[in-house]
Amino acid sequence: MTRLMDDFLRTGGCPGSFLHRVDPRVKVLAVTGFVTLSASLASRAGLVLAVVFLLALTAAARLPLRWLAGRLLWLLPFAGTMILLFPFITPGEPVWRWEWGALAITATREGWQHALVLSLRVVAAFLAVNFLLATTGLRQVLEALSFFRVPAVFIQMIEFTIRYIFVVADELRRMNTARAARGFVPGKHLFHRHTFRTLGQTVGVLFVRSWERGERIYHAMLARGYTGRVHRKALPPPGGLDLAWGAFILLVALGLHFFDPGTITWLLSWK
Amino acid sequence: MHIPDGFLDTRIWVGAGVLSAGAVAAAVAKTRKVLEDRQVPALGVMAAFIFAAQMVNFPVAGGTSGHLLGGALAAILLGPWSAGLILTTVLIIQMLFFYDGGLTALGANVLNMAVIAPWVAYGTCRLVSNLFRSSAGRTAAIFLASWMSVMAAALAASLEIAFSGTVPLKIVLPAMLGWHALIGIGEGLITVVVVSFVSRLWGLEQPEQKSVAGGEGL
Repeated sequence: MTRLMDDFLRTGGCPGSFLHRVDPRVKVLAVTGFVTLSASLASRAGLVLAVVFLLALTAAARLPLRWLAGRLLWLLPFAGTMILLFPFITPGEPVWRWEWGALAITATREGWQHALVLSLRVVAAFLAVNFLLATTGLRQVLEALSFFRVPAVFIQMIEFTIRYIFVVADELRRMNTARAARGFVPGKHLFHRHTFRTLGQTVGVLFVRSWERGERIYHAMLARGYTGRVHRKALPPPGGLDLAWGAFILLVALGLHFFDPGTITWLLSWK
Repeated sequence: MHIPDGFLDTRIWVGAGVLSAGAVAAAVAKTRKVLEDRQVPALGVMAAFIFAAQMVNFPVAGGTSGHLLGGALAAILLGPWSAGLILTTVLIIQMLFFYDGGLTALGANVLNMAVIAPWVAYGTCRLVSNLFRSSAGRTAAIFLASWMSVMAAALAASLEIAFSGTVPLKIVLPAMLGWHALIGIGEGLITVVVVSFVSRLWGLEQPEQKSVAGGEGL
């Protein structure tokens, strides 16, 4: 976990690429728009094009592809479950049937296609969010969000949370090690009283320690003159090239959307 | 329970997004009154705590395990308003860094896990502990509150997915509720231990802290 967060706190890949320098506000809007449009694509062709386009963008930003592949592997269990599950729960034309006594399982073509479309949507959205964060870095994403009037409370909370996740998670890891060293072996089911008492106490101690840490940090910040307001310098207006890039991304998404059969049914369903 | 992108119909995710934006805006306004902006660092550390608490796995049955969601825990110890802000922050970070839950589905995930879960927990806990004013009643209230919060969030997620036409209701509902009925038991057991541990400690040592947390006398 820690490695992954580090990757995103520094912007990944080669910071010199044009895509790293595009105005963060334009990037946030363009990527949000792209995900919004691609999440409702219904054709496999359209979705494959969206995925290929995002892969090309990622390659153009010279993000390390091996790292990307590693992250994509995380989606495998999820997509795998759907591909294994959906053919059996969606009614339609049977392609495969398995009988064992009274038990019969049927896989349907519609189910496969449904699972494939859903997996492609998830992969496309993942690539887009990943591209945004890896080429922009959290700090600039937050600057863009605060420009779009996301309440300052949130921006600050996200910053503090990211800062202290490492500390609290480390504390938890130490407690886990200590628990294991004392010979704790978790039970196998929900009704193992000792397991739940021990885990509950771990979380309880972690809560109290975090709470006290929060108080200490707050007082230390007050002592240094913290007033709750954080001064941020205003971002310069985006340049023409930034805007053109954003428009290009959104046009690609709109183009994919326009040629998608899903859009037509969706529009009809509004009438 | 994190819904990814592409599972929700545009109307559902926009609707859920509007609802949760309203709830979150109310929480921001309310927290500003109770806590003042200055307490934000402490809330951030509590969000980091919930994030870490969600890494605690507990055994369910037959080698499977579940993890804590923390909605009830945050609502009971810190009050539902602060809990909403904390869980929303956690969900945003999970979405950005781990792609746990989608960008378009963020509104729905916030609604299920940062609005419905803490408020159901808070309401159930108040109701049951007012009905049975004993220490056993309070324990039952905390357990039931945690179980109900998990179930309510799972129910909301199932309805959102089913009404989007992604999975038929008669399949997603029993699957989600059946699994989360078990997860909810683990959540309830751990929350009971944590809350009794913390309230014993705070009751003995620092009685003034609970009011600072906005726990509203729970």
